Amino acid sequence: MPAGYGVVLILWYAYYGVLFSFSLGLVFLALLPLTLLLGSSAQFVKELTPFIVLLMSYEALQGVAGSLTLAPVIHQAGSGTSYGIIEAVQSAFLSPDLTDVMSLFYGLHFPLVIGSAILLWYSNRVLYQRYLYSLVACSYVSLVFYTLAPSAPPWYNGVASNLLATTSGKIGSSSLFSELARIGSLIESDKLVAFPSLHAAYVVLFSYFTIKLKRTYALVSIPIMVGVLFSTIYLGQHYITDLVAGVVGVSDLRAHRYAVGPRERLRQVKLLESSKTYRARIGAVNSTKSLGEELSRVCLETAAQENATYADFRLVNTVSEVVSVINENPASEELNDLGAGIRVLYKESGWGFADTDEVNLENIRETTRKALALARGSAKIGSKASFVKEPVHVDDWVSPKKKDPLAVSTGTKYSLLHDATGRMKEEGIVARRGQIFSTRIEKYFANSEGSKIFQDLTQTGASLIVAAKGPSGIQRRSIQQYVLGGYELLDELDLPGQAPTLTKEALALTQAEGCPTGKSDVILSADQVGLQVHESCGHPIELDRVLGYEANFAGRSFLTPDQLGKLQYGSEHVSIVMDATLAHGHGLGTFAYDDEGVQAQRKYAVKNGKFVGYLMSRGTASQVGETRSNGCMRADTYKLPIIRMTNVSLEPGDWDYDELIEDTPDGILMDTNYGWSIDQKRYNFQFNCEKGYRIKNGSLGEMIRGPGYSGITPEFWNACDAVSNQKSWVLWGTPNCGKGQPQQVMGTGHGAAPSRFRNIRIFGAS
Amino acid sequence: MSQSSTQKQTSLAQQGHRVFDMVRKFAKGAQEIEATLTSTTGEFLRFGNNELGQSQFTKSRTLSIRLASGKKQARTTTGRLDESFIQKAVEKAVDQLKTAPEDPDYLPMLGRQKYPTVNRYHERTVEESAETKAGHVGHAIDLARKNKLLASGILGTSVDEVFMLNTAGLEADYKGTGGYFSLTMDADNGNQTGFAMSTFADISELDPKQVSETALERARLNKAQSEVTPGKFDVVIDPNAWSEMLFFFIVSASTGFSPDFGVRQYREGRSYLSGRMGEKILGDNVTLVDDVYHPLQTGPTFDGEGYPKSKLTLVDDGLLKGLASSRISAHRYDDVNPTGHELPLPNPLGEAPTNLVIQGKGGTKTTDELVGELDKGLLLTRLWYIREVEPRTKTLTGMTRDGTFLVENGEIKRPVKNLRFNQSLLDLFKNIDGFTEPVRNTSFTGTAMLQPGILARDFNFTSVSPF
Repeated sequence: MPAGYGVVLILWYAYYGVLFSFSLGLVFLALLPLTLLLGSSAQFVKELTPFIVLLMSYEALQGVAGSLTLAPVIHQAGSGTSYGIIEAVQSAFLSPDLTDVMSLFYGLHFPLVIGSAILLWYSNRVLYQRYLYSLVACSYVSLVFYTLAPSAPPWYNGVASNLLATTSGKIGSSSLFSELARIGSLIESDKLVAFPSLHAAYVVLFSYFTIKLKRTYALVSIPIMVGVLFSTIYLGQHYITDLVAGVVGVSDLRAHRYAVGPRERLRQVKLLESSKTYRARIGAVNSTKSLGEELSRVCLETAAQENATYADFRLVNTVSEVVSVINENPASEELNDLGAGIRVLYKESGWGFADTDEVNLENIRETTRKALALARGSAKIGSKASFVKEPVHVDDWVSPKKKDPLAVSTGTKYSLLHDATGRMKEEGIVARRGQIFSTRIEKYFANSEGSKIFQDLTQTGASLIVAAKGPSGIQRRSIQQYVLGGYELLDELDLPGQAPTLTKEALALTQAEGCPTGKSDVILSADQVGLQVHESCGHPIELDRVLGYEANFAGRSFLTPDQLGKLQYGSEHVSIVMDATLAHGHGLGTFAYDDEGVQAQRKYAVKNGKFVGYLMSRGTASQVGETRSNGCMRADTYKLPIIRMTNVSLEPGDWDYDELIEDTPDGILMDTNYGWSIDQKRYNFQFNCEKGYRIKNGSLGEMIRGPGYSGITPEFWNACDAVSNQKSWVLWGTPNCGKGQPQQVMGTGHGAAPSRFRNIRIFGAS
Repeated sequence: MSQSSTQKQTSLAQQGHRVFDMVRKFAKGAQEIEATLTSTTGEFLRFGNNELGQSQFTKSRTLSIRLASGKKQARTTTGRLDESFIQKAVEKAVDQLKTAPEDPDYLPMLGRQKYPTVNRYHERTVEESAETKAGHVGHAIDLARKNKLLASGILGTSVDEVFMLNTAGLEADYKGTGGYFSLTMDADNGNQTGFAMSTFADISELDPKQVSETALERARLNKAQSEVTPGKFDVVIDPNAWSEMLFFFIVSASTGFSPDFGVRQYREGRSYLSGRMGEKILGDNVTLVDDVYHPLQTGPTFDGEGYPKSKLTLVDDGLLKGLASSRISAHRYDDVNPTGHELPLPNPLGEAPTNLVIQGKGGTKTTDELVGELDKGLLLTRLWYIREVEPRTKTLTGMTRDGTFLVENGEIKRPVKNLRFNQSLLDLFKNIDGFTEPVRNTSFTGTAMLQPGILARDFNFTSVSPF
């Protein structure tokens, strides 16, 4: 239909012999091969026809006004601010060069609109459609003014000089300037169409939509807008009031964007997906952020239309690679997982969540609806949810790394592992296993409050295990570490260098004595203290389990809110922080924002032995009287965020590790975790380690196999009388913490140093 | 709303062929290609504190590609089925193939196979509306409220699909439904608590009221617990109570959580069972089979490389008799035949039984009947946080939770505080006096195991919790 109209209009121009004398026509003809080149000419022609028709009928639009006999509004010279401004501008700036430049700007009127329309059509069909509607709407609104109240431009009655007319005559017909200026003068075919200014309206729309398409376009489009607006005044074509009316008219039109119905939105979604750059972006490597921006808009608008109180959207792209060597057998796998999770709150009382790995706009819409349906169901039997405030954040964050682990070839990793496991080949060794883990998580977060956060996290991990078989059964030695960082970890760990020691120790353990049963002072290695913190402090301070939301699986907690600020959780040597900031170190619990857009923070859980804080979320913080979450909502990929440990770390003490050993007359050193178990409220625990040593008179004695210890959490931490200092403090990564239903896996960080505990129940595990 | 509204129009097989064509197009230079397409959708109504606060709908599909050339192999997996992502995944695999070391166990891919048909897909599970399911949850919450308790738990349903094909002409597919209802009712920060759960393949098997009533009944009984002195007790273990414990039957921590009942690890000496073939490892009245065709079992009837699974006896009347095997083991060792228990290749871990069925002799009873046979001992309704302490005897530690009851003369006398145990799993299986009907394993590890409840002697408790 629009195409047909376009053909008729062109024929009509042709009939009057003005088609080819009209330079715009030439512009359109020149554009056709370009569209053919772009490869979508049919669709291009179909979708751009209404636009072309609009521009070609521009003159007709305005021509109506001149043929009417209504008295035009003519401003009298010397009256009003508008006049004053023009006069001032013309007298202050008048120069032939500026006139040329301004004429160019003025003449940009149509080329700009055409150019930007093509750009928008090509990159984002939804924006293109809105642009078109806005142009049409403001043109027709203006037509009403032109028809009912024609108004004359300033030069018409001598209020100002018509610099445009003189310029176009003066420059002649040789330059681009002149051609553009000529087009500019052609446009003003009717003189009584000054109010409102379409020059102003079009250029503002141009500017708005190009910036909407890409923020950096503002660098070009804003100067152009200012130039065009200034040119209309300078050239004596418009009063300020005309410009204001034009701009105001456009802003009003913007408002109707939100009134678009669901069916229209779905149509827009399909349109957008047909855009070439959209498709290219989905396929591009570094696209998570821009795709997230695109998809989040649809999600958040859908949620708003359906009256969600709050909504957030996350797009998460995870690429992970595991390279393994077990005995002689290699295996590698790279996994790429992209998906979106959508969380909505309905009527302030019902939460719903849905996720999907089909990340197209239509499905995001459907997934948002799924979340809403679940939220409505929950709202029926829910009570009012509290949700503490968080500032709006708009930020990008890339975690530090020296060597991108995913850029290191699989072959290099295999060589390293073969080297390390090869050095473990000994009589009596039954299993040699090495693994390297490389992960990159890109996540885009946006919520209905306006936060827009993109994070790009790189994590690297490695483990080496050797198992020996001998008189005491199978004995294991291992090392493992996981960090927020790059492949430089592998240089630091030096797996091949450690392999022979681990092998020797595993073989020695098969001959070693068992651990005695009874009570003893124990010194735990840093990694074991880290796990002890994880299990007996990290879990019980998760506020969701404290409040009963995890009672069916993860369990509850002995650290109930009535204990907050009162319970002597441990001795004065025990201070435990919850710290997700980079300042704490490169832990698996380090990030800039959590998965509900709360900034990373550092807070004490235990200060000098006293229990003082929880791991919280925006939905739970108010239940312990807090006004802000400390940012502990984390999700396994794009799944539902739940309260998780960040880096929960024991602060270093002031003992040199060597001095700590020297200070211990009789005890057991236990090193490297083997088994761990704790009750659902996190009271009764039992751990056993791979290796141990007797400590006699301040020095390490013979090796013992399978040392274990058990206790009740607060009694145990109150028995802590020494923590080693910063020199032996390590931020350990725990990659496999399970929680939630269906279960999610999360990496957490635990800084710890070797520590001593007095009079602990010990036993021999193997 | 129900899960069905998002079911794909095209079948997974159609989609599988489409993506396989793409993989072939991009996998230049690879001699052999295998593609496995999996799809999982789930609807989970999760509730806590008498609120339905974490309802989730989840949907994911993955394509896993294995390429092989010479004796080199590489695997990449992608969650995106767009052509550009598949291209990226294949190119990555091709790239890995260049630098991968030779796999000494590499075998050419398996050709077309015949699989016995099993029907594991139940439309009703998919069609059940979220409203109906929310109704079951609502009933549990109402019941808890009336009794001044807090309900928490999850009612989940899921559909799993697998489609595998390779350049040697193999095609295998699977589609199945499943679900579970797990419920805790508690009060006084969990000092009073009761637990119940039920699993299903077809949701019409679920009796949600019975689950609610069992949890309520146990919660009512389980308050103001007294302490018992730790030590050896005769116990009745509810069939749903020990899922996690049984996982350690087939996996050891000593070699980094790797499976034990496979030929390769047995012969390499990595298994805790190595060298014990023919030995009595369990009691006379226990037989352990791997049987994917059992009516209560779940999962596909083919293994990680598409080989048909066969029924396999691992332990016969207490004697270690068989091990899970594969084409690789049959190729490595002359006296071994494949049983269809390979994991996705390349697999350096070794084979694993995937569908264990624990069979007890001497007829089956209900949990209540087993309690009736207990002169003095404990009823354990849920065991928690189980870890291996020692691999050879399979000594495990863990806790009781959500209801531990002292039984005297066949009757529940009173609740007791939670206890920690250190117990050899092998010894436990030598001390069983009675079994219930089997139920599906519900451990977080996702082991497809069928397990009975038991009455057993001398279960070793080592300490007590303050609650």
